[in-house]
Amino acid sequence: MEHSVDVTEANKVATSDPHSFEREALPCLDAVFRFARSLAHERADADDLVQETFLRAYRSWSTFLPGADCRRWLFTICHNAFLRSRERSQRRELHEQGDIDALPAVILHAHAIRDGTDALLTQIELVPALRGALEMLAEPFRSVVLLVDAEGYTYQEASELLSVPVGTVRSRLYRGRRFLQEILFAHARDVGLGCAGSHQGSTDHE
Amino acid sequence: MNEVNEVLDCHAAMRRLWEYLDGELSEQTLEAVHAHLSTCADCYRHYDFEREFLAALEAVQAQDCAPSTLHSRVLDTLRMEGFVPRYGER
Repeated sequence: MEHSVDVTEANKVATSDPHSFEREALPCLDAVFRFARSLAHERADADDLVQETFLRAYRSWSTFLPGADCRRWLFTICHNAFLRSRERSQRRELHEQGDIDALPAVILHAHAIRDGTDALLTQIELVPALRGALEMLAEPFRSVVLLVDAEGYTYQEASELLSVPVGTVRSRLYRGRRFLQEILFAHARDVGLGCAGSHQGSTDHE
Repeated sequence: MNEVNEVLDCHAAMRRLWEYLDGELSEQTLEAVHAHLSTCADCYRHYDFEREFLAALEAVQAQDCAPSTLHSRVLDTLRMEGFVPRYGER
């Protein structure tokens, strides 16, 4: 979404309020932090990104349209800042084929039913396991998982925010989720959950 | 295809599982997946697992908050730009 259009009268009124930034933008700091963490793998880089985002947002607050989604506006600034910092550091984006639908995840779950690890959600310490899996999930998958699965954006909204086609959002999201499940199932096996051959009624979606 | 009574087999229903859970399907297809899940125990088991997985994923990610040191750092940066907080600081 483009916010840097004409500075309307309403816009002037809102931004002339010296406390509007504090009231609208600063409460989004935790959400921006989470998004920055999904983009930049290193914690220090994410902190820098948050600082850069709020600095840019403050400097361009006059372009923010009153009534617009401030969190989304900040996410766009954050994403653009991330892209520029990545260009500077010459890092290469991880390219991996995404999933076109839910079938690969369903097949993965069918395997887990067969080896008895499907009960992992109730039998392992899920929070630390999932945290660890998220740490291993690389960009560009992690930002889509964050936007859709934590912040509640639709595929279309995430697509606009990241400036990628909806199909790309879909494939990254599905692959990202499946990657997380692969890590969780592997963790479940590592801690001894499930055993080969323990059939509990595997399904036929393979 | 009958616009009203779209019938999905297991394969077709499971292909749409993520979109079903994400609320990304048209009403007609959503109802078709829903109808399939209500009659197929195998597919319902996959649905139930993925639903719980997504709930856990949302909960874990939502727990992440910026540390107070980062809040202070951002405010310090903004103060250098002339920002004066009014409503208090974290």
